[in-house]
Amino acid sequence: MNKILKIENLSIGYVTKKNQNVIASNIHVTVNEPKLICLLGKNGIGKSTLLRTLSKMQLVLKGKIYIENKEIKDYTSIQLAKKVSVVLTERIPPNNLTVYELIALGRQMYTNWIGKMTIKDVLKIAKAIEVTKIDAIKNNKIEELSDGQYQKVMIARALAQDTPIILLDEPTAHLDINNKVEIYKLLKELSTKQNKTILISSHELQLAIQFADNLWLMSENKFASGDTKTIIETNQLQDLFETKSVTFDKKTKQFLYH
Amino acid sequence: MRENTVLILIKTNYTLYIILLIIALLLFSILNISLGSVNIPFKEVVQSLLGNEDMKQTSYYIIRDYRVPKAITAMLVGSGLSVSGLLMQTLFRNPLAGPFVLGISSGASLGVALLVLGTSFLGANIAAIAFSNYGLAIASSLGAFIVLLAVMIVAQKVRNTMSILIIGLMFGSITSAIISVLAYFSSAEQLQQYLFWSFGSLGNLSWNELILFLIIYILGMLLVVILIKPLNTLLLGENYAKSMGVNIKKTRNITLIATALLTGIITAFSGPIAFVGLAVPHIAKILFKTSNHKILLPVTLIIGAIVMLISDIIAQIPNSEYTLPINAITSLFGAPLVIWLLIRKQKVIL
Repeated sequence: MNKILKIENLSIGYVTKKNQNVIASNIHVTVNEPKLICLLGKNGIGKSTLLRTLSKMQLVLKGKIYIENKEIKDYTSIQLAKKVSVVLTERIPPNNLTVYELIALGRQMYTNWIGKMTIKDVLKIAKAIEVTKIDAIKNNKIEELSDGQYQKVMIARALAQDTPIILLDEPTAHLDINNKVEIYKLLKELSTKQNKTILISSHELQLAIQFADNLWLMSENKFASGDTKTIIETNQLQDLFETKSVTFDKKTKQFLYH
Repeated sequence: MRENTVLILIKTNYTLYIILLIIALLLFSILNISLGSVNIPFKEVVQSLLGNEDMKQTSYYIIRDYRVPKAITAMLVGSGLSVSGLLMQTLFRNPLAGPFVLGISSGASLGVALLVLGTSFLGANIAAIAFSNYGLAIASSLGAFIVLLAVMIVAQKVRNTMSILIIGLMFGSITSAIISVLAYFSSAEQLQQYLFWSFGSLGNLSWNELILFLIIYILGMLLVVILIKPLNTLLLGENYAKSMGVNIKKTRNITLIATALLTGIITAFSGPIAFVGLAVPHIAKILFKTSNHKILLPVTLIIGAIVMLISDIIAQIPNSEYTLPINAITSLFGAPLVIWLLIRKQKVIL
């Protein structure tokens, strides 16, 4: 069985000169086939840290991460860039790039030293533009895009990177409800039709329940994972999010605010 | 189909503009060589350039040994500083970064200041060497090299690229403080000598010096070519660049070395020439409305060379005996341009 992603006894956090600041530990999870996964948890619980660790932007404190049966520390940065692509929360610094140029940068780990694109690169970019439906804006400047368009462009860039795994850190944070749903639909489509494993860190509980195949839950001292249905059945969402002002109704799969 | 035509159109436009720029560069270099304190008829200028020695001896020597090396120096200085400025602006993602943020010009100034202002403590023999061309070049290279080395060593210890910018500025403050102290204890004559160096000059190079200049310049530019691809990726910020397999530390170091080579050699031979390196990349970005370094780098290089040729023409005040300090000319143009940029564009773009 060719496992896409396997995390073993992982501890994540920050390394300072004197000590390690562990944010979360004992993370175990395996992904065997392409899925849409939502990573849920409160602010500051370590969702972004986990995504950064999976993309090797941050060091593993303890434990192991395997991508396609190979530990990520054994990947060179170029090799890893062909397995994992990211969409970050930060907006890129202001520049004069066009949408097309930005998406084309997603191919740079495949191109030669000067970045010359082959027909294959051009086709991958065209495909990424097609599935994210941004053909109409491909010659626009990045600076002119709305937040919704911008997110689609960044997803297209990740698609151009042609990786089995895409990590997205709160991709719908600044979007209106229509754009939120549209992005989730798009990501769902990518996981089913393009066989991508997509991991989204999110606070959109309702959308996550509706669209995700699997949920990963992070809390102070626990990491839980499972398919969305089981997670709901076993009351794990209540444990994670229920307070006096928020409750979860299992029957209607709705969060209720009081 | 439509997409292809649009792409081709953009491409040909860029090529067309670059060809126009190259033509402008040629015209301005001929104009630069034609004008000077001595009035030489254009026909003689052309004949000298074509290597016809039959003509009036003095004109020939003025053109061959003075004006042509000066024009070449102007082009190397302008293009080298502008390209370095572009590198620094992209690396630090700061539109106000320039070629001298690494402390190179302050280091060179310190070297020259120590030599010129400090010679009162030395014997007359050393003083004689000190005021020669080579003495100044060596002192400024040493000074630039030592300060740059200090900045690079500290830079290896900080992970944040932005910190390097501030560290460079701090080293600049320290060196200018030392220069102030030295100046306070110096004679008027020494101060004048130092001041003249700090005005910058393009006209003092012999062919031998020029060849050394050219070799280092080409080395620096070769590194710049390697940097085109990672610099484009860095436009998305360090985290995205990392996720796309760019080795940030390596890119940073190559960029620092290329900038050091280019600005180091330029400052050694021509003094601390201000503002070109900051202003020209912005001119290129406004004219070409692109952030793609494949286009931006050659364009910045050519515009830098043109700007320096024009500055030199103005500094010479054609047909007069007077020469204005080149550094004053570049700043007189550079400063208003930067102010205008900030007023006109609400957002300064990388």
